[in-house]
Amino acid sequence: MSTDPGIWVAGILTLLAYSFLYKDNKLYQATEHLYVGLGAGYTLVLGYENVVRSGWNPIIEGEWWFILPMLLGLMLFGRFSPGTRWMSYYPMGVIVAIGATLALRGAIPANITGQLSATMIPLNTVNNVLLVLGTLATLTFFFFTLGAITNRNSLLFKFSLLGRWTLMVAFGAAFGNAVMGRTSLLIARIQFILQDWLGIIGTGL
Amino acid sequence: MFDRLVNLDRRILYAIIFVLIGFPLISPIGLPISVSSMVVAAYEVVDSLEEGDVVAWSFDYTVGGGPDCHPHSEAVWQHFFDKGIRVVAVSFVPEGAQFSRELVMLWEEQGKVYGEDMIDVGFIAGFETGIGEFVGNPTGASPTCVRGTRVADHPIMEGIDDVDDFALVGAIATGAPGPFEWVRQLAGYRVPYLPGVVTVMGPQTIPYYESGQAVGLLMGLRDAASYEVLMERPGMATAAMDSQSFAHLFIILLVVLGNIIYFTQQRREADNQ
Repeated sequence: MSTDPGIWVAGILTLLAYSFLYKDNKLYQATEHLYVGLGAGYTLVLGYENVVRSGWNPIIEGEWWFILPMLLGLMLFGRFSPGTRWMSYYPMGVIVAIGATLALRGAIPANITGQLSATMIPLNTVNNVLLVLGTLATLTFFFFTLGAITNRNSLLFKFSLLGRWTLMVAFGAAFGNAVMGRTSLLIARIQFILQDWLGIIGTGL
Repeated sequence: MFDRLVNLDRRILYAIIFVLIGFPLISPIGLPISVSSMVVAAYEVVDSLEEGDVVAWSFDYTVGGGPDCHPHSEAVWQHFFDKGIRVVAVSFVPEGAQFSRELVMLWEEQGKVYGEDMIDVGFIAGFETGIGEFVGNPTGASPTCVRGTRVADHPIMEGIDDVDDFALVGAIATGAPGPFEWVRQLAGYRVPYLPGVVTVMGPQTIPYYESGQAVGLLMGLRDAASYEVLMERPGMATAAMDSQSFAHLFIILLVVLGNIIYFTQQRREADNQ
């Protein structure tokens, strides 16, 4: 069993968090609030460190042009008062402009042309055929304005049904992955309790 | 019997899940672990790197997703240092910086030299904007590393002017910024990109592997275990796989049972009418 007080605190808090599974209770709520508070505190400290490291220190070392982003950052706080709210519009504009430009720069090759070319493949394997058919059928499912799609006897409607099934398979895969992910989180906590805290299991195979 | 099952206290199911996960951890069974082609591709890319190569590794995951993602970093870093590859750690998620610090300190205890074998650039604010800045200027995106030394002054950063000077970029994510942002920012660069994601994000990320925009893909704890298997260095991720299989079997059983009960009740109601 661990003698590290930090491990004990983490172990007890883990059990208190899981106590919700039995019944909502005050200790669970206290743990939840503690987690939120710690998260906020950690982010605040990291933000402070980041400003000092990336903004304040370079200014002190003579890179005076870092004053400009620091000033823009300070102007963001103007939004907390109605009289100074206008000040926050300018840095917000800079953030939106830079963010949108950076995202758009890579969006077309990354998400459109790159993905399109990945669908233009030889139909020489079952996987490739499924991929191409599934993509086309799914796209057909999202045609809402064509008259033929509303006619239940049309070939286009039947093809769009294949798209619906493809979507269902994708949702099933996503749900399966979600279950697997949540199970992994639980395993990690039980591993922590059994290994790091109680010392029932070893540190490796 | 069906009525009793429908009204079963859910806490009994939770208790069963706890036992099914805990028992194999205490007494491992060693069920076989399959390895996906995406993990094999990831392993081969890392294995093809040469001693002295410098790679960038981004810790873009939160504490909540850490158990699903951190084993990726642990396994691949083991592979890096087995081969003498040097690593530049960075994070674009505040909590990710905690994981990078922990791993860097762990490897320092193993004899790796900070500044030569690895450095920790730390958290860079701005999410995708931060990634864009790091990609174009890895030494300038954050003036100093987490220990206060100028990033450019570390020997490991010699000759690193943009992201193409890295032999590989690996980025493990639980959300945004994640593969979508990285693929966008790496468009136009030649550096191989290896994403790792929390299991839930797997299906959305596979298209980037299929299109060749990612050289491999690691999804959740399961793929960390697969990676450990490929390295022939079984660790805690491998040990967790028996528990995962048991829990999944139980959940599959519950889904099947739930459906049987649902359709049986429907038929019973139809007969009564």
